Amino acid sequence: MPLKTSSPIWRKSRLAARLLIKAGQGKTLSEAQLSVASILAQDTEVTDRLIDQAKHSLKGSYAKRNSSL
Amino acid sequence: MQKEIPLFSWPMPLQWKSPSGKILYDLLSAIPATRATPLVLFGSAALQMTVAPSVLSADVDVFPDVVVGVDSREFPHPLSRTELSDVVKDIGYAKGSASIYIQVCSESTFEPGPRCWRRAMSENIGKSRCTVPHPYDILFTKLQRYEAKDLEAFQAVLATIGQPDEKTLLDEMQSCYRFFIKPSSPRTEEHLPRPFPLGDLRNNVRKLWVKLYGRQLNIEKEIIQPALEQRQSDHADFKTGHKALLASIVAKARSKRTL
Repeated sequence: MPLKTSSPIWRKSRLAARLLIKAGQGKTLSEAQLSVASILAQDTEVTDRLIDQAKHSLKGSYAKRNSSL
Repeated sequence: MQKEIPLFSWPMPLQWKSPSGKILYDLLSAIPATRATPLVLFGSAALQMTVAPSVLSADVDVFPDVVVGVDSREFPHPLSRTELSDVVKDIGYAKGSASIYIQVCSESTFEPGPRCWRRAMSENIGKSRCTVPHPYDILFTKLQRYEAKDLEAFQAVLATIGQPDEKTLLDEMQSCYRFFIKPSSPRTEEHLPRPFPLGDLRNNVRKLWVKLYGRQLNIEKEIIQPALEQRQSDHADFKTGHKALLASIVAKARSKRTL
């Protein structure tokens, strides 16, 4: 059985963080993305703490990818 | 001239030739190899066998250690508290049989702070093992009772090793700040044995501070608040409002589209 590398809650939090980053860059969210964002904003499992962690994690992974180029 | 503080290194050799040491050695040697048992030594005897030989006590307090995980292979059939008490009786160190006697206690008698088991030291005698908590942990547990003799133990340790100084002891107290939080309802002492109806840790620590360091201690400001601030900075090290922002992005985008 393959090893799970992330939990569903963490994946949802990362998704919320991605949407926030995208919106923060001034990009327009599609209708599908807005629907997901709306669900995630009301999801009690997704917390500000996890979204904050996910934003830092994504920022870190972008930085690492860019520095290795 | 400032008094030179003697070096205090831990773990240190256990003083098996001290009065308590000899008795404990007899007990550990009397435990059959097939029933090897890990013991924890606490109370004044633990101080006598380590940092403060002048601390005298009539009893040697021990309890059979909880055996879990890897230790269960090393100690497959440890003695129970009752069986250990029987061994103590057999070798003539039961209460009333010797001037210095062994008291086999339960684990719950000893209530140390959270650092205790990471810095306890152990020594094997035969197949059995003696674990001795750090002197700071031994001293801390004396604060529940805080009789004159308990203050004497603090003073003896301080005089011998120059520790714990005020800063060290404050740090120790902050590590177990939960013990100091004032109960919201009037304190009942039901969890403490009857001989210690006045076992109020907060008051005892205040009294100790005056005697040991010559000043009043503010428990809220110097123990609880710094500990809580530290925890707050560790636990709340994130921005809030992400979910609200996500909801507002959705609301804005949808209101634009409906216009």
